[in-house]
Amino acid sequence: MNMTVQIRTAEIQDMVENAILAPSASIVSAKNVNVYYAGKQALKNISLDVAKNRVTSFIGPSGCGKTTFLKCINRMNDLIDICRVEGNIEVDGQDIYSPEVDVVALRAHVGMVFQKPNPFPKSIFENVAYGMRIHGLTNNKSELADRVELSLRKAALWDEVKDRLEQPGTGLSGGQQQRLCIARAIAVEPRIVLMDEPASALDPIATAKIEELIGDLSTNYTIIIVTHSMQQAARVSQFTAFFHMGELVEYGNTKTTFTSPNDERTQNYITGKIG
Amino acid sequence: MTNSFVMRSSKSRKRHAAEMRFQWMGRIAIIIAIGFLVFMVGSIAMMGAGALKQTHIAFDVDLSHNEIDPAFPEKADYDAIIKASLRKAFPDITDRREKRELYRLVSAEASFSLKNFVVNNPAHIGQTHKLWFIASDDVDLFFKGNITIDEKGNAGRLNAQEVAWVRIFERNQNIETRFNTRFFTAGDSREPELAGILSSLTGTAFTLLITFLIAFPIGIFSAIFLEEFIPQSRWGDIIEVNITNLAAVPSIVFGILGLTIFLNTFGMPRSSPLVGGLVLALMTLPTIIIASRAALRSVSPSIREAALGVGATQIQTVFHHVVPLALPGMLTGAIVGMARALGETAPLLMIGMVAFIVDVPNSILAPATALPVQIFLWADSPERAFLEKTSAAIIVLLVFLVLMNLIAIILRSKHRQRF
Repeated sequence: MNMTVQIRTAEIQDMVENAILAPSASIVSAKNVNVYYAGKQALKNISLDVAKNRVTSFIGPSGCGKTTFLKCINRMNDLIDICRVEGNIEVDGQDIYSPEVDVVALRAHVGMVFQKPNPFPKSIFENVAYGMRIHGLTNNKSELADRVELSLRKAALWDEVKDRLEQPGTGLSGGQQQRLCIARAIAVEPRIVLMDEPASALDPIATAKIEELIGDLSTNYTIIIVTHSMQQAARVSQFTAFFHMGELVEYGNTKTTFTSPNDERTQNYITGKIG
Repeated sequence: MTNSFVMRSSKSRKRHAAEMRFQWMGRIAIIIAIGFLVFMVGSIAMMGAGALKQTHIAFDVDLSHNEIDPAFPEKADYDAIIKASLRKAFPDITDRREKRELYRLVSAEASFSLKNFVVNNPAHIGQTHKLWFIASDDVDLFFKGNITIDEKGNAGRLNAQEVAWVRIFERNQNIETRFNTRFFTAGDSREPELAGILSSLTGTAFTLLITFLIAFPIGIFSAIFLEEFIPQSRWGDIIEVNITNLAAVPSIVFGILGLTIFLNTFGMPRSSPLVGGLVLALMTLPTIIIASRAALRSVSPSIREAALGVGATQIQTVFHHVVPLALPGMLTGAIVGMARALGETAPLLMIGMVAFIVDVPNSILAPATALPVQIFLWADSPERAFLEKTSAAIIVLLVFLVLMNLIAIILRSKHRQRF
C-alpha cells in the first residue's frame, strides 16, 4: 500500500518534471552574440533560447560573461560607452537591437533586479509606484494603490510593510530591500525579469525567501538569474547555462547539467576544480 | 620572558618618537593658525566696535518766530539757527576764528535734522528746546577715547580750546554716546560721522542676486549636461580642462572682460549691480560647475541603474533621482562660490562700481557700490574716523560670509543624514 503511494508520487513528480522541461515556446532567442569592451571580446558567439515562464540560470566563474549577456537582454549595456554588441537577440520575436526599438519600452518589458539592493531613497510606496507613474499604467490614485499592493503581495513583502508604506525604502533590511526591488520590477508588468545575483548580498534566511519567491513568480514570468552559487542554480532553475571565458559551454536542463555534464569544463567547475 | 610587543628595541622607540614629533608639529601648526585668526578677528573687532557708538551733543535751540515762518517752516535758515544757538551757549566767544571752531563741534548734518524736527513738529515754533545733534567726527573720536591729548593740549584735530568746550558739555551732561543706527541706515558720506553701509550693502545684495540668478541655473545645467549626457567624450574632456583652468583665472581678468563686453560692446549702464552681477556670475560659474559635477558624481550609480531598469528615460532618471540627491551638494557649491563673489573687489573696480554712492540704489540699473569696495574706499580716506568705520564694515562682511558658509554646512550635513 505504502509502496504504491510512493511509486505514484514518484511517477507524478516525473510527469510534472517532464512537463516543465518539455520544449516550451522560447521568449528570448539569441544568435551569434559577440560583445566587445573597447576591442576586448567578452562574449564569443553566444546562441541560446530561453524558455517562457521558466527559470533559467546562468552560472560560471567571475568574468565569464554571464552578467554581460544578461545585460544584453534589456540593453543595459548601452550605458557603457566602450561596450559594443554584435549579433541578434530577439525578445518575443522582435530584434531588440534594431533601430526602431524603444529602449525604454524594452526595459519595461524586460525588468531587472540588481546584485546589490538599490531601492530609491524614497518611500516604500513611491518605490513601487514610480515605474507605473512614468509609464502611465494607472488612471487614478486608488488604482495605483491597488497595484502597489498587488506588486508587494507578489513579492511577498506586503505583510511586512503594509503599515509603513510612507517610510523610506532604504530603511528596510537587506532582504526586504531586495524584495522591494523585485516588487518595483514586476510593478510595470514585465514578461521577463532578469536577476543579477539577487541574493549574493543577503544572509541565508533572506536568500531562502528570495528563492521561494523566484519559484512563485515563475508561473507568470520568465526569470533569468545569474548566480555564483551552484546550489542556488540547482534549487531554483529548470535550465542552466554554463559560461566560461566568454563562451557558452553547456546549456540544458538543470538536472542533467549538474549530474552528467557533457563538457569537461562544466564538470570541473561543478566539482570545484575551476572557478 | 620577553614580550615582543613591549617597546624595548631602539627601532620601535625611534618610530614612536617620530610619531610624537609629527603629532606635535601638527598641533603647533594648528595653534599658530588659530592664533593668527584670533589676532586678525580680534583686532578688527576691537577697532570696529567703536563704530557702533556715535557721540551726540545737546544744546538749547531757540526756534523763534523771527527765524522761522510757521507757514513755510522748511524755508528757514537752520544752519544759522544752529550757529546762533551755539553762540548763545558760549556767550563769551567773540573772535571769528573761535566761533568757526565752535561750529565745528557739531556735524554738518545738524541743520537737516533740526529742519526735520521743526517740519514734523510745527507746534514747537516760538519755543526754546534742548535738542540732541550728531557730534562731528573729531569730537566723536575724542569723546570715545580713541585719541588722547598731546603735550600741546590738542587732541587730534581738536585744539585745546575745543577740548575745553567738550569738557564743558561733558560737565553739563550734554554729551553722550548712543547706538549708531545711522551706520546701518545711511549711505556713504564725506563726513565720517554720517557715513553708513546701507547703500553698499544694498548694492551687494542686488549684485549677488544677479550673480545667483545667472550662475546657479547655468552652472547646474552645464554640470548636469556634462556629467550625465556627455560623459567621457572628447569634447567633454576638453570642456572640463577649460572649466578647471577658468576657476583659477585671477578675478580682475573677469573685470576686464566685463568692461570690454558688457560696458563697451553692449553699452550696459556703468557702475550698475547688473553688470557687477554678470561679471561675478562669470567668475562664480566654474566653481559652481565643478562642485555640481562632483555632487552628481557622488550619487551612487546603482540609483541610475535602478531607474533605467524600470524603464525610465535618461532625462527622467537624471531629474527624478540623481538631481534631487545631488541638489544639496550643488547648493553648497553655489553658496561657496557666492561667498567668494561677496568678498570680490577687483572685478568691480574695473566696471566702475568704485563710485562714491550716497543714495541707496533702488534698482539693478542704478549706480551702486559693493561692501568690499566700500571698505576699500573708506580705508583710502584720510579722516581718522573712517578707520573704525572700515573695521566695522569688515565685521559686517565677515558676518555675511560666516552666515553663507553656515548655510552651506547645514545643507551638507542634511545631505549626509539621508544616506
